[in-house]
Amino acid sequence: MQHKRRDLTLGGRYRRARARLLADAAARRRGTRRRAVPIALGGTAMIGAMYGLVSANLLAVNFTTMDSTASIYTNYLEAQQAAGFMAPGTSTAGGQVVAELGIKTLNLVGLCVIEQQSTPFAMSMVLTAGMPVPDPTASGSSFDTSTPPPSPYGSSAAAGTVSAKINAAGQVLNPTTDPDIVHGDYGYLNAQLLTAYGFQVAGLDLGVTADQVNGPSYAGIGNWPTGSGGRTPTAGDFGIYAGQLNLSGTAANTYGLNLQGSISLPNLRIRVRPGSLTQADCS
Amino acid sequence: MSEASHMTQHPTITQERTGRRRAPRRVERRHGGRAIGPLAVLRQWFRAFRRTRPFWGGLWTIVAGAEIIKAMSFQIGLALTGGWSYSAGYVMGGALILFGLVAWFAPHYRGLAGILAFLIALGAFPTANLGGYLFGSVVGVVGASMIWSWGPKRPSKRQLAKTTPTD
Repeated sequence: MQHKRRDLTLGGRYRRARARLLADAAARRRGTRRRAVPIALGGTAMIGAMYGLVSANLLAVNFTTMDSTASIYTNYLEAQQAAGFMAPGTSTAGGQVVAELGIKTLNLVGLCVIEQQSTPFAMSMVLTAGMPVPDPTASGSSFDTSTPPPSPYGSSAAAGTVSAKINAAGQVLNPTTDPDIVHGDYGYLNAQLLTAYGFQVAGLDLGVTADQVNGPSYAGIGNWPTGSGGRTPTAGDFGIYAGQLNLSGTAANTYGLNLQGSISLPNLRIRVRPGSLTQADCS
Repeated sequence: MSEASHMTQHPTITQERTGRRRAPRRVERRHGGRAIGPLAVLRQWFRAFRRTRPFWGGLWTIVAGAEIIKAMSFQIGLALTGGWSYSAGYVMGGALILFGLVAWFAPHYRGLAGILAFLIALGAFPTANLGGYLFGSVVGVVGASMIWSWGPKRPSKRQLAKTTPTD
């Protein structure tokens, strides 16, 4: 009796595995069954419910970006315990010098984030929360930060609405309950350009040594988000601290937005559109 | 069913002698003797691969994981040292990719992989930039549902017509 020898070479094993695969595929019909539909719909409904909770200011989310340029706009920024330093060129910022800004507690009257995506094709993601953030230059007049804007709260169109959210001392009213206010903790911004009208700045200390500006003697915001080279401040570098930093008509071009704490995003709305967008698309 | 009988029922590899060893030829033959090229062989293999595992569910889950990682695109060093804010994208997106690959290469675990991928896709929403700007979470949920629900189906009418004897 002649025994057929089993081919134990790689090719033989491949052929046997392939034959098994083809036989298995032909043996019976399998695929996605209809019971996927209610599960998928249920899951999508859960995401919709979470979206609603975030929009209703009942669920805080983690939101962090880096390595991608984003423009951030707000009608009014109220920051308590803010610290900053000049960071040398980083790989994340394409080698450009950026300002690192850290804020212990922040309240924003309206928020608009436009993030440009270049792959696979040019498109922009617009995230808005709180109240609309209209473009102060939309009326045709340039927004000059060296002189007060039409209103200390940004564009004249939104001035009435925005001013109703702020008391005479420049503090945001009802930051955790008002659906027009975005509230967050321990926010860090990696900005290449920041323009605003300084409405109220208190406890300003320029020239603090950069390695201490975040410490308990100043802002008390803990360690800077580090890890990629060049972002850790060193002793003797220029630092800035402000106990209260209230800015109106704030616009920033950033390479990263990091919230170590949580952020509430009431009236959340996300839109994706082709091409590059500007603040005019925020409202 | 023996291997030899498989080989008679399915496309076989024609071999030729080269000295002592048998080497597979690059041309395969069907029952009728019609030769098919390497592309057709690859297509045949891919079709069999696709039909024996939750391929599309796994693919959508992998795409969702990649989108979540891209939405929180940090350098890996920063993700490892920067805490949850930086690593959440890699953890949630990476887990979705992992379970997509499990669905592909270990389809026996599709039930568990589908359930875990479903929960991770939901969990990515509050933890990873709104689940990759919604896209990752939604596609992940759909993919995970497809993985979980994948399984035997009733034979199609064409298959029934092939197997049912007719008068």
